[in-house]
Amino acid sequence: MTQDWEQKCKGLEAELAQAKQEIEIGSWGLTKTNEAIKYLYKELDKKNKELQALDRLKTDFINTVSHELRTPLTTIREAIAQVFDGIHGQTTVAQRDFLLMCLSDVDRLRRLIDDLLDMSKLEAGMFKLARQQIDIVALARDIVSFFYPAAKATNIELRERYNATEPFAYVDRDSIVRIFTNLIGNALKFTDKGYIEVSVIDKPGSVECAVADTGRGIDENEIPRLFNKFEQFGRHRGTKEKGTGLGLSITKSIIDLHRGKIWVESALDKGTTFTFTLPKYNEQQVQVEHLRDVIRDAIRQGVPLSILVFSTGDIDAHRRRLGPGRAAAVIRELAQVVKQNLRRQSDGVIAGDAKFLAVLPGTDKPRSVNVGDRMTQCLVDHIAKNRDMAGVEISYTGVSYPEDGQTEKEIEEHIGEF
Amino acid sequence: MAKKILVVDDEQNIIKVLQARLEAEGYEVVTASDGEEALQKVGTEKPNLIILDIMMPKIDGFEVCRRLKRDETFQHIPVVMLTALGQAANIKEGMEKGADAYIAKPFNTVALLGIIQGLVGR
Repeated sequence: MTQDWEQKCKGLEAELAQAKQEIEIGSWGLTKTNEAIKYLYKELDKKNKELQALDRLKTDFINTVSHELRTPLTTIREAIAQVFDGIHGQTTVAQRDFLLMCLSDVDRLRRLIDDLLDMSKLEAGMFKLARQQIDIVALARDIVSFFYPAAKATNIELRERYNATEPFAYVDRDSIVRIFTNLIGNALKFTDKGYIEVSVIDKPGSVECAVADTGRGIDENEIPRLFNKFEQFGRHRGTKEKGTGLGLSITKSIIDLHRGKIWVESALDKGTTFTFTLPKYNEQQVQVEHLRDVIRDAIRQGVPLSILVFSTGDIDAHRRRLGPGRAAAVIRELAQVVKQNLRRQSDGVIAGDAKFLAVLPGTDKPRSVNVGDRMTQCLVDHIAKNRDMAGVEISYTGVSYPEDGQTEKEIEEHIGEF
Repeated sequence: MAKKILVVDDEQNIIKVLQARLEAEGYEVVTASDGEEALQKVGTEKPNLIILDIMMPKIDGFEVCRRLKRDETFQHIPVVMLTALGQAANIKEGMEKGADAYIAKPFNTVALLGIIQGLVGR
């Protein structure tokens, strides 16, 4: 009997030894795989940085080229204009006719350069929006009135339909002027008779704008490509001035930047309607939007960004003790303390419902820790001087790009609710 | 007496067309091709207005403007900055350095003349 047992034990020991060996080999294999993965991550990171550097080179290149193109354009335009104006001697009617043609094409070249530059900035994520709360109805009215003479000259009726009790949206004024101008200009180009209607209506959370015409319409096969770059449609049918082919693409990119939507409804000979929406934001949403823009810009430009999320301890207890109004005011006050103590002009603060944020573009994670500690000290000092803030305990967490997240979503998730 | 304008640009052609236009409008024009020459001529010519290009070798337009605005003798002279960049950031920087006006190339002549008239009259 014992011999059986001994044999069984020996067998099991052998199996155990083999299993151990297999585990060791497996472990070694895992370690090697791990190392390989880390190496691949490093390579990916390197390639990413190279791509970003290449992107910046492309942007710098386009900026330089556009500058180099604009300078001779200036002299050409001014010189022609001066001859045309008679500054350098009398000119004949025929000469002025040809000079006018030159001027018109110089202006066309300039618009093309402007569009190319904007396109490159949009693609590089370097197109800056200066957003404010703008009355879209008032803006649309201004732009439409600018088109009255042109519409009258071509016998097209200009209609306006404004139905918005809350017409304010958080937008970049110049961009929206440009979009309306682009769409109405296009409508005029492709409409031979009938009318063009510009409308602005209220929707929950957004302002919906539309430019509708009774013009030539767009073939439904061409609609999917409409917002692509350098597509010109119906060229063979028009004698009116040609565009750069970038207008709609730039328009769409700008609407995307505003987090709005744009779409078109059209059929051949049945007219066209372009509709776009612009988001409405209240003051706090404006701050959140601004934060999202800062995050987006940092990622697009490959520049570090740190956000410090400050908490005041048990916010519910503070609200019970001080009342919700005073509690919110305390948060705003503490955010201001941070704002006053931040050194860089580009640094900002956002006061939320329960927490407040310090937004530090260009600051990397190690430096952000220094800033966070320094701010904590300032806050603690401030709290010590205010009796009703007793019980407020300051702590912070740092969220940095690229260390804590590589995408807008990841960074926003790390920040969480505030 | 005719108002004197100092035009500063490293591009000879720009100087030539600007000078022709301004003289046709009745202004007296003196010129400089770089920042250093500009600072010298401000002292010797005492212009009523300066048109200043931004992109220049050695000292750029921003630096010239900054130095002029810091100098008590010259800070009252209006400065119009001329640029081929026209980006919002540049305009802000120009204004921060003390420029009185800003116009982008290729400039609208009527606009430039309007700005000059507004700053010094005819």
